[in-house]
Amino acid sequence: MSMSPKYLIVAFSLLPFLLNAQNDTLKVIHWQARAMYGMNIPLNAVEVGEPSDELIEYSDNSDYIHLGATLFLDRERTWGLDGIIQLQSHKVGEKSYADFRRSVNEKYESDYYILQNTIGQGEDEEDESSPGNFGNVNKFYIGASYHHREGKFRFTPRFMVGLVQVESKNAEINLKRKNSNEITEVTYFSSKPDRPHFSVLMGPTVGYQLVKNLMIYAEFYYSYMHANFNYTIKERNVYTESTTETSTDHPNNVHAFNAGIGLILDLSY
Amino acid sequence: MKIKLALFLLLLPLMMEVLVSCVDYDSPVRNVEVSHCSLELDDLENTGAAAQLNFDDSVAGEAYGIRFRIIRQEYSCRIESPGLHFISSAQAIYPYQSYDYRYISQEEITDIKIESINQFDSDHPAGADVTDLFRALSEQEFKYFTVDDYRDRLAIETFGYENRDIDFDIFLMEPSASDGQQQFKVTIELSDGRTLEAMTEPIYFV
Repeated sequence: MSMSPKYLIVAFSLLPFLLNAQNDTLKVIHWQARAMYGMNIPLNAVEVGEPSDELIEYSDNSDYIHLGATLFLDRERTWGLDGIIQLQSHKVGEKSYADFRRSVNEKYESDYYILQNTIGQGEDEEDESSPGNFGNVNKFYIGASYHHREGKFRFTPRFMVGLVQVESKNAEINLKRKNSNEITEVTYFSSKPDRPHFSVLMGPTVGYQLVKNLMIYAEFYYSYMHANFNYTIKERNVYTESTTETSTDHPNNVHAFNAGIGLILDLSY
Repeated sequence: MKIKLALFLLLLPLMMEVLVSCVDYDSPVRNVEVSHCSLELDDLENTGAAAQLNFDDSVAGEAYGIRFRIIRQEYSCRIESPGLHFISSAQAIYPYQSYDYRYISQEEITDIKIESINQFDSDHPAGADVTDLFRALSEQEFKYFTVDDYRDRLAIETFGYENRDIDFDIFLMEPSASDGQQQFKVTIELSDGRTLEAMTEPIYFV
């Protein structure tokens, strides 16, 4: 019987905290709540030069806010449990729909008139006149952090595992061949329209204690996501009903660097 | 007293007609019974994004179509016995907006046949039935229907003042392999036994 590597990583990341907690008397537990603003900078792109690039809600530099919580013992050096909820908003998300239309135009305009171009999630396709309703990328992480206190400075490297929810839209394009009665329906559909993808995160945070229960801190981390985006492009001749299907793979392994700054409120008891 | 009673009895039908005419006061829909009266055809050229009327004497066969207009009128092409009306113009008037119109056909279209006047190709000599070479496009479903299937989908009832006539387009999906002048005769059979006929303008396929 084999165990998925994902579960092994989760178990391994939690192990230090569990061992640490068993060996200590619980004098003071630090609860820390964090709020942060930062930037997500992909180190590689999911784009492959196809219109489907624009259907994946993951693109170049984007802003994020995240809320986090940490639990650790009141010691100068100790392991802790860390959790992150990160809401990531793409700067380019709002124009993805226009970019998709432009890409489709470039692909088909030499031979076809584009009668309709709709984009949406599943059956919920939007009208051509509507702007693309691209939402946020949501990330959820949990893992271990090591807390190193040196005067008013805090140094906290961490390793976390989690899920990244990246929506990938479907699209339908109706084409009419120039100088002909022939019409064709083209659909783009994703094999994983809105399933979460496995991700790991690692990197340090550096904090400075401003007042007793308030710290300013900066974080830097590398993240990896196993995305496995795949699009099938189906072209159907509406008269003959003949179809052709092609498949487009986008990079499976997505790497990114994140940097941000925020505040930590310590709720010790 | 007898004079008043006589006057009342004389005016009773008029009062009843006014009363009946006002029954639909709350409804802004006016039901109009119509009959298929005549057929008009136009040649289409579909080289662009949408089909347009063709005013040339030639068209690309791959982009040829025919626009149908079935003219429907209120009883004008049927012999109807006149009803008994004391006042023919008695109608309720909807105070805030004009009527919506619901046109209800009195007969169904039972068959649409397209014949080639000239030899279309080696399989279709002059006078041959070429209906199967054409398809009608449902833009809502983005789907081509055979003429027979599309005929079954034509609504007996239509709504809106401007939708009294029935308009639709059919397109030639398998054009003739050889160039030459073509002309088509369309025959529509109706459930009351009548037929409507019309011919397209002669046109050269290039």
